[in-house]
Amino acid sequence: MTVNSLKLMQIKFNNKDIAEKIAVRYLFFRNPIAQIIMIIPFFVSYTFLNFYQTELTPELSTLKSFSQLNSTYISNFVFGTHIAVLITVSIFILFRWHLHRNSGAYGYWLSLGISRMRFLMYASIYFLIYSTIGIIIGMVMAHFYFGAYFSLAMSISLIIQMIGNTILILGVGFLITEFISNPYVSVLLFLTFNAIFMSIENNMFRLYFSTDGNILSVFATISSYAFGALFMAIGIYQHNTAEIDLR
Amino acid sequence: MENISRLIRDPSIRSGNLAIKGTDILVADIEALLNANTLDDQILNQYPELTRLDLDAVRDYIRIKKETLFSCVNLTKEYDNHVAINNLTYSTKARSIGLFGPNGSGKSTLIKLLLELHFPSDGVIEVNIDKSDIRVVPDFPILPELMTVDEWIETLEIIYGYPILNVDFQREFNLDGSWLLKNLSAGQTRLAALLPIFYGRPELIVLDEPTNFMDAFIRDKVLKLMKSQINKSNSKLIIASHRIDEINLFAERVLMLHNGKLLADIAMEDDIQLKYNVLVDDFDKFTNHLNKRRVNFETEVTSLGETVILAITSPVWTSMKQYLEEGNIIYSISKIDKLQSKLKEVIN
Repeated sequence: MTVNSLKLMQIKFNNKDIAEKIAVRYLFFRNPIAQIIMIIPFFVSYTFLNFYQTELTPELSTLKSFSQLNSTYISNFVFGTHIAVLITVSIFILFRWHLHRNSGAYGYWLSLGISRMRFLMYASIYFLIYSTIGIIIGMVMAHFYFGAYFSLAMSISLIIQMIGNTILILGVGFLITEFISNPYVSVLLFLTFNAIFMSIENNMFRLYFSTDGNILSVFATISSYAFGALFMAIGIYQHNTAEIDLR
Repeated sequence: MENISRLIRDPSIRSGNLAIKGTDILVADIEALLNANTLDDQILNQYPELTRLDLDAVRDYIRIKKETLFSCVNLTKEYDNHVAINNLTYSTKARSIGLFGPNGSGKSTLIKLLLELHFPSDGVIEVNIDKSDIRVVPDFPILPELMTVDEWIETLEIIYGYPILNVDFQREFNLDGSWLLKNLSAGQTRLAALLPIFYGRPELIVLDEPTNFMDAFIRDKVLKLMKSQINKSNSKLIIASHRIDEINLFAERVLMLHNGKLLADIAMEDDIQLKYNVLVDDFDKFTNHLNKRRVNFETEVTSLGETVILAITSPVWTSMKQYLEEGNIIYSISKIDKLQSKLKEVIN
């Protein structure tokens, strides 16, 4: 027995959900490029927004205090995260996931014995892990390259809020995917919904951030987790009762 | 069976749950109570909407579930006003089932319903085997085409374990490890799609047209390997095919479907009278001989001319002997296999 086959046996016996994990990795993150594509939108949107902010916004020069400047940075950071999550959810969930379902590729994995529920669970976990990595990279960039100041409490609060927002956007994307079978229509609907949502949220951000930029809205954070979870639960229910084709 | 029709798959609780008709009580709840040896009266007190007939229905359901390969009751599947499966009620203890019928007869739909990829419009279908112990080869498999053959095999080993036959499948099937699955020919894709059945010990193998696109040489090899695998792993089998020889090779029972309805349920072990197809030079003269001796026969028009289909009995031998003595020729006597005979019977 070779070392490789011993490794295979170890994986098999240590990991009962391995089929679901392989299916998720294959369908969504087939190669390292796909994983990088998950992170790139975060990187690009943070960079773009910071340059845009510092070079082109005339209001910046009139800011009176460091906290106002920092608040603007954080506001940009939140906005950038949304844009990045929107791009990744549009590409990975609404578009690619649709294609896999319509082509029968997902149906074939189901026929290999994978569980729909566990597949969705692992897909969500992978997605959140990549998004969280993107958010942390963004914070590091904002701090070291663009001078934003994050206290430890603020960093943790921001990460918690951003993950909540990611769950909410993921939930909305998943729900739309379950109910609309045309990938183009669903992407359009998703982006429209999110444009409205971001406009509301932008106001919420201003409302709930105090001038020193350190108090995060507990309400906004909890509601994004709650609504995200609710949308995902409805999506999962719909998915479990949906007919999946083998081709 | 009448009892069990009290159980339905409620459309509002489609996620694999059965309910008792006219109530929102789940069969699984009653099944758990019966398995825990709860007295009938106690169950009826707990669920006043239930009757003793409902309890009998659940008992029947438990018994059938334990014994059968699969069972369905009043199973109907409609797609946009097209009925693919029409009120099918069937259960069997056979270990291997052949699904036979023309295109659009409902074979593939039945398989999708078995695998819970699609759900019944009405009625119930049950397979008492865990999904991870089932291996499926669909009629048009969408393989993970960005994988190489090596990666595909490695994936199957990780998911299911090692093959139980001591065979190098890559060499047997002529599949180079570095080839991408998307670049395989139709026949090679079929071979790659068959690989999952050889890994681990599947409890049930479901094959939908397993040897499509294969050349005669590789097909023969594949059928032998499949037979060995099924014997060695002691797997149950459901095979849908248009090829009578494949059904004959694997199936204990054959379900003949037409327009989603069950035309016939044939036990291959039963004594179906063997029939022969006789081609002669003078059809009318030969049939006159048979009529004189009151032999039952059928006729068939083939590309070679009119032929006679009959069972070989003593009067038939006498007729043929006399026919030959009169200077006529019998070109051929060919055996019609059991399934073919039954097929003709059903069609007639």
